[in-house]
Amino acid sequence: LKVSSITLSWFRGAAAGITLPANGKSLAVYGSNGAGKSSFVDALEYAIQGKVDHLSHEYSGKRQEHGLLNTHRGKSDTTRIEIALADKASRQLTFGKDGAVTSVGTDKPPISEWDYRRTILRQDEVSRFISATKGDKYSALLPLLGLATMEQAAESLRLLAKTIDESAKTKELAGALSFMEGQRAKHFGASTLEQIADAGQDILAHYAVTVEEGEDLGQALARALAAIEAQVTHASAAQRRWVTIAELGSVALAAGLEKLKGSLVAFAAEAQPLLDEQLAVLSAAGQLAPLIDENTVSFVCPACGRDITPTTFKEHIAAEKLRLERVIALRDVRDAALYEVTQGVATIVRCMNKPELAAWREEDVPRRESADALQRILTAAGRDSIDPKEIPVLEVVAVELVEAAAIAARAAPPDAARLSADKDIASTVRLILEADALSAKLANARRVREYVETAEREVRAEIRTRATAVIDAISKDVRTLWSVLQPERPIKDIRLYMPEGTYKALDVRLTFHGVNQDSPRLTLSEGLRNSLGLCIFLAMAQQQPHHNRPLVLDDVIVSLDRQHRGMLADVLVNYFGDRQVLLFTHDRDWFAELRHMLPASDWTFHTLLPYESPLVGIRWSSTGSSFDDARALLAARPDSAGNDARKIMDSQLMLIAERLQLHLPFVRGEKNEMRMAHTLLEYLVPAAKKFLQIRAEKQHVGHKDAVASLEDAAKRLAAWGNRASHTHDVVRPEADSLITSCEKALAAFSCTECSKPVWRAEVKASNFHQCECGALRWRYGKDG
Amino acid sequence: MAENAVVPPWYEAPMTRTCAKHPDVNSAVKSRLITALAEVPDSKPLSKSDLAALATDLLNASEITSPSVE
Repeated sequence: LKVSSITLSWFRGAAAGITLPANGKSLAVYGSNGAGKSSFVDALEYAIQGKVDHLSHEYSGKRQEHGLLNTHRGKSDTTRIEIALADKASRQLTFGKDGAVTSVGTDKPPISEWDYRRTILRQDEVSRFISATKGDKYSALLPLLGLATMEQAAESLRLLAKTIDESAKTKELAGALSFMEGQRAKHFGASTLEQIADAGQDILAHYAVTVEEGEDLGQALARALAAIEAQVTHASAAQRRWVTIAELGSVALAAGLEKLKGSLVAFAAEAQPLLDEQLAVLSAAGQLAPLIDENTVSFVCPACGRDITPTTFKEHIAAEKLRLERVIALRDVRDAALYEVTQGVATIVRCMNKPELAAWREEDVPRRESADALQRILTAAGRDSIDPKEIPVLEVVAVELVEAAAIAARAAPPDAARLSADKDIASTVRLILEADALSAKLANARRVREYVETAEREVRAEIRTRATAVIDAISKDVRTLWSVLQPERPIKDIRLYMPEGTYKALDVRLTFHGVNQDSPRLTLSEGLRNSLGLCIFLAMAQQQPHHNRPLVLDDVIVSLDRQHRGMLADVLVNYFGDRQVLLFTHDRDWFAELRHMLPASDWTFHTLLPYESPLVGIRWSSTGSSFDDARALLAARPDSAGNDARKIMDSQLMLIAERLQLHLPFVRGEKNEMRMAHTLLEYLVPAAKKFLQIRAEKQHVGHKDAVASLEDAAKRLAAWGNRASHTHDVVRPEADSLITSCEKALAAFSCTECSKPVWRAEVKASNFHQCECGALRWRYGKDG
Repeated sequence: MAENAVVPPWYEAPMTRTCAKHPDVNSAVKSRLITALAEVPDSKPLSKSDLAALATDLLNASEITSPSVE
């Protein structure tokens, strides 16, 4: 599935058809900023994921049409991407004006199934990854590990556990049971269930209600309660008043508040120290867990400071889990008590708002104010339980109100008192009879919820196990690549890890000058962080199960210095030699270096012309020469064109000098970067006179034309190159001839017959470098 | 594990462990949850309405049959 070509028409910066000619080989593309390199990468990204990430913003349109389609295409122009693969399959994407895409192709599997993050790496993604949070790193890498579905399942399970609680109304059920216990104690003390049922039968008899066939006592009591309510409704206003006052006076709020305060104290006493300790324990366990060897006899526990065995350590963790479960049970008790108090307040407010109690309410100002205060508290709670902060208020106003009603109820006439008491007892008996069913329902819901919670924990444990295995393999590759890319750095033991005690987190750990660091952000410079990000991406790409798919690197070396850029070429040759690499760069010096370093048998090199306009579009340089950058400046800024030509000569001659092992009074490396073209030519011209030879009939002779070209370039660089750089007074014809002369001088090192450079092959026995056909050669060594 | 449930290979280990830890949950609940998990898309978690329907299913299934030891 190597790429044979990518053809763009009116896509991004492209005008009419422009083709990236890969032919299944690796390729390096140089283009100055804006030349259109990324348009090819965007096309591949679009074909893979149906969008281009860096175009995702509010102005790009619903289908990114404002960014994808060339802004200057004509009415009859069609925007199209065609990706041809080396196995003759292809994929064509044709865009409508609104960005709608028609996709046809014979690629199997389709390109849309390629893994984008293991295929394309852009510079901004490298730096973004390292500076991302642990959670963002996890999100970025998890899909690469093939575990995204499991993560979604775990999240669904977490939400499902909450939904089960809501659907089963577990809080309400627990609250109702708690309330029932209070009422039972109040009305029946230690009476047995049979005695309680007898009390229920008495009520039925009093109101002439019988248990019908197929009906149980609870259902019959429900009918009896309806009968009591009907009697109250049809009673006189005075009687209704007494019944309501009695109901108000019987609200067991004081007991409920005591229960609530007790549960809050118990919960706080258990939970607060647990939370504090849990943080310390988890933190310590998180640091320790990766270090514990199964064969370790004992170690000092960072949580308790004692010398313990791994088994004891595990027991500590188990004990913490038990404590956590106890806190959860206390939380349930607290929630039930809160619910019970809330229901009590709701009953008080309901009674106080009844018309028959209006006079009683208004006859005492503090009583009316208490009723208003309770109404506000209940309204503020909305559908939730009331805020525990209101307990002191409730202890005063609500309890006083209930006590006043209880005192007033003592004066109630017997028939009204009986109605009120029967109503209370019937409700309580009914609740007691339903308690078993409610308890079973609550236990059932909790059992299902716990089952779902266990499933979530187990899925997350599975994610961790699977991710750890892949992460370990990636970490090993990262260390290998880092040792090639940054061999002299005292940064060791790099590995990706999932911090203990967290689920959705991933970070990079390393040893910096012998000191462990839990994140590269703590100590590494931006350049080193980017280098590390590049290693991680390349390691991920190495884990790619489909090694026949290409690897695309878009300007990834921006923050690497010259030495490490060179090492990246080594990485590509030695570790990705079997992969097709599509490499795009705006770094002219590195591109020139790559032409020397990457094997011509596997790599091709292409140069883009500087971008002119959307109608002209992306263009390849016909010469493949970097001097096209300089030529593009001739009309508008001839001094810049001349300066550009000189800079190209600086870097190209430096590379040539190294390739030819020219004896220079300075060493390879950074010092060379300081050498100027005219200095290098001072050594290259006399060396070329002695060592550069061309085949003439059957023997090699000195290459006089080449020497003349070098001398001409040296003269023009001295005259116009320096002026272009420093005094900026070079005119167009001067700059033009300087560019032509420099281009010709560099061409002197390539064979006109086989077009290969003179350093293509080495004949060590004869101390020769030579081109492929042997027509051009350079003798090296002490004797020349 | 619950019988007749279609289990993606990567769920097998965690769900086997989950079932082993909850012998008090009946097989109808286990089957329903495993089937639902197999249908979770990899792009986003289940929607609110899907979750509500699944929660109701699980609660109903848990009440239909008596708990069994798997």
